[in-house]
Amino acid sequence: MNLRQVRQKIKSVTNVKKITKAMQMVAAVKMRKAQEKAKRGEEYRENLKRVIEKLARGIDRSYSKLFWDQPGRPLIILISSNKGLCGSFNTNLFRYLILNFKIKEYDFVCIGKKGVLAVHALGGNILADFSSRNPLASVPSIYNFVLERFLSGKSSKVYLVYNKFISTFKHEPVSEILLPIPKFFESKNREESPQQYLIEPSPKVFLEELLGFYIEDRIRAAILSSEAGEYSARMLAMKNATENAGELIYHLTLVRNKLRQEKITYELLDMVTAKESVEG
Amino acid sequence: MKTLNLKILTPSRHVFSGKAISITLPTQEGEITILPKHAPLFSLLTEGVVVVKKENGEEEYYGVGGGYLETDGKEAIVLVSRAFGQREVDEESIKKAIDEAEKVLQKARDINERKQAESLLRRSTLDLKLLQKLRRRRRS
Repeated sequence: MNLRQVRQKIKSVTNVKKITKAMQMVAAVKMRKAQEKAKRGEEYRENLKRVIEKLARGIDRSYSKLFWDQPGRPLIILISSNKGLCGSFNTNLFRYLILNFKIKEYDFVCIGKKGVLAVHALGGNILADFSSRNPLASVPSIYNFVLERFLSGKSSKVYLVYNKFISTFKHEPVSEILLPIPKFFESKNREESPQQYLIEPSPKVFLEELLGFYIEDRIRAAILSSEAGEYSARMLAMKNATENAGELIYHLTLVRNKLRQEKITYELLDMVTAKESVEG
Repeated sequence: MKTLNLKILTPSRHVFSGKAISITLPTQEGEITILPKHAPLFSLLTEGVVVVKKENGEEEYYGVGGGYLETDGKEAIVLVSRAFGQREVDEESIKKAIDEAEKVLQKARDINERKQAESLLRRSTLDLKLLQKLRRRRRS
């Protein structure tokens, strides 16, 4: 490489560094926002859970179809990202998927374009793709779609597979069973009796509807968690990229200085030899 | 004057929290109004308009999605899938959303798209209703 090329290279790496730095900061802000969003839903979730626990006491598995095992193929709701440049975020998720599930035996509902591509390449059967820009807006339709398949006996089990946000530096792929509702709600305080309450239109309809809200909210929570994880992954990836660019600039600057020094030395040498030959 | 502690919650935010004299809600069996010392009640809500009468007599309107109401006479908790206050809806954008949804409905390719558009249409019509209700009150 000559001096001019090295200078050019330094310039382009500097530009790349600026871009990755900007992306890092954008991702940091978005991550904070996503976390806040997840937090704001907490009160809703807790209240919902409290009421279900209050009402669901004493019922058994035969109470609602949502607790039953169904015939049919299992279904996976796969939540990935729409965009790349987020390090191992998607790769980790897909590796987890391959290790834990026999992909050809499952149907898929995908949220996130990367997931669609991966499932397609792995030979899974994609039923629906909800990779819109605003995944939260499509939660009700995802819920309706999945519920209908489950209740009509086309899907035996519904799993949620996504990256769970743990902290800014940590997120890990998890799978949860969404349907049939696996865990039973158990109430801790026994003083309050649901019998005191009037329930409209009827306790059965009410609870059924509430369980629906609960399932819907789990999908929503998973999407939010995955979103926060995506931004944290992108932030870290971009931070690494910025650091690497800085290092590259450092080494290239050394090369540039060396070349410049070399050039000056040669020029001096030239002058000295020229002078010698004229005088001599 | 007796008041109720009211909370309106949605998955994305805390919409209202404070004291209210009365709350009128759209339930699956018709509209009900909750006053302080109401009998303990759980009720399912449908999409519609919630009217909250605050302590100072002012009324606030919210367009809500489906959800439920819980009250024990002192406290009322309204959990709904979505809620928009009167100041947050604006006619232009609602009409635009309705147009958009109708367009999508006409040429929707698959069931999912159709369902999404339908729910958007339903929501937007509701917002429009809220707005009209508000305007009527102002005039009278």
